[in-house]
Amino acid sequence: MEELTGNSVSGHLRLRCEVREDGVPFLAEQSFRAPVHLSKPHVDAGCLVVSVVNPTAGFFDGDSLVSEVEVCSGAKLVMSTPAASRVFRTRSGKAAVNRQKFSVAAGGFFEWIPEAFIPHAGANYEQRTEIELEAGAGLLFVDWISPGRVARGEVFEYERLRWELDLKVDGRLMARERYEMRGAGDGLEGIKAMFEAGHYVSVYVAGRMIDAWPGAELDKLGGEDVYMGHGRLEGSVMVLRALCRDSLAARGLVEKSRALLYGNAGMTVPNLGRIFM
Amino acid sequence: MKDGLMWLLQANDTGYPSGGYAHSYGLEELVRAGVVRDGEGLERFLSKQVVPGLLRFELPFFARAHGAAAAGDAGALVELDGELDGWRIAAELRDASRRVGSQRLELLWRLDGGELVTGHRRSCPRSHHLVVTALELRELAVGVAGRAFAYQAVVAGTAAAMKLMRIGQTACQGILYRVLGELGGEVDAAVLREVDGFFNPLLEIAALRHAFANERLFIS
Repeated sequence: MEELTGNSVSGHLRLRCEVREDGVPFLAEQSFRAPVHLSKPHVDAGCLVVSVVNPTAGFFDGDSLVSEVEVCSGAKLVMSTPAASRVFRTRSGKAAVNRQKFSVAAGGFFEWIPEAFIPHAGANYEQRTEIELEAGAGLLFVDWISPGRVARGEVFEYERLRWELDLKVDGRLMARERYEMRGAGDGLEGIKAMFEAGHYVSVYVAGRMIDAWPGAELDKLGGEDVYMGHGRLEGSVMVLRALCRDSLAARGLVEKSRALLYGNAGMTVPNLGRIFM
Repeated sequence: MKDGLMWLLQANDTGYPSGGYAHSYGLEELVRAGVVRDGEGLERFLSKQVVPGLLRFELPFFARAHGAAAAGDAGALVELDGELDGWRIAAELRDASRRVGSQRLELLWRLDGGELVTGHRRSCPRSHHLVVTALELRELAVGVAGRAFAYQAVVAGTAAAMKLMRIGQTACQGILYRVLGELGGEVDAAVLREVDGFFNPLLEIAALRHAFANERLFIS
């Protein structure tokens, strides 16, 4: 039972994307409730582009969101956020919880390309992601975690980020992530050793985009401001991981790698309707 | 019936042909990138990146595999082996784990040849190092077996470092003494913990990059 209290909200997002006979994708089912709102979807480059808006400007402690997104065979869905996602300082000590499940059928394509995730000082947040692909499904899934509000001097001052992800293809586990990141302690050594206020970018790719994997071109995106690697998971899924010196470097990487992945697969990059990308 | 302690010493001796000497598990790339430059950097890498990973993920997972091996549960061992593929995101780290594991499994089969080992070799010949070590040391207490596994992981770092940096045996033994001393006191608690991950994108990226390095000394 979803609960709405004076201090926090429990909402949901349910979408099912299907394709019409003429090849145009559409939302056959949509349901949502705060803390999310949907923009009016538009079709671009054969994909249905949906922006997920957070009308409360971010997650507060105790907020919860359960998302279920299904992409049917032949449909192409691109989901984005128009601005950075924020989690505010916890007042009660409780975490904000975001559970999301994305299912893509064979012949379907799903892209998740959010703006940066910005955990404020003292934030407590849990994100659990399940991605279930059928063999032959396409995926471009991006996570971008910033160190905080760097301009205010908040660098890794969040209390706790709990990050969980399972990616399965035809029921077989391809990737499992379980991270507990805390501003204090040694848990962020893996970022700080490279960049004091580093941004973390993670990308999973499946389907047509990996048939023409632009490995050499992607390598050229690395350098002094971007420490990046990419490779294949056990099955037909590729992963790209990067640490970036700052938000500009992270944005540049996401933007350029996205263009490369679409371009090499012979696909046109869908316009997200944002100022950037 | 073999003597448990003697077998533990034999299986962890540098003369035991595991092939581990050929792997740096990402350290070679971190040295190349300038993240680890000297003894101080090596000790920091081991204590801040390798040890937390052992305590939060490897040792709790090892305890599950050890429990399955001690119970003779062949199916659970195969299942755990498959799950490890999902946890090890970088292909080179997966491959290194399977290379060392399969070499150890082959030797274990020749030495032991029991039903459980023979069956596991048949169903999972390229088994992960962690699972094979649990199988090797299934008759020992999990805390003791876990220490042996953790020791192998830390020593792999210092052994590789001597080939990658200007650092000698004495300095490495000092680092080992301190890091193992710190780690040892936490193993018994770690093997009782739920399996969790450890956020270390730097090591993952280093392993991903190493796979495409133009020149390299180690396989991983």
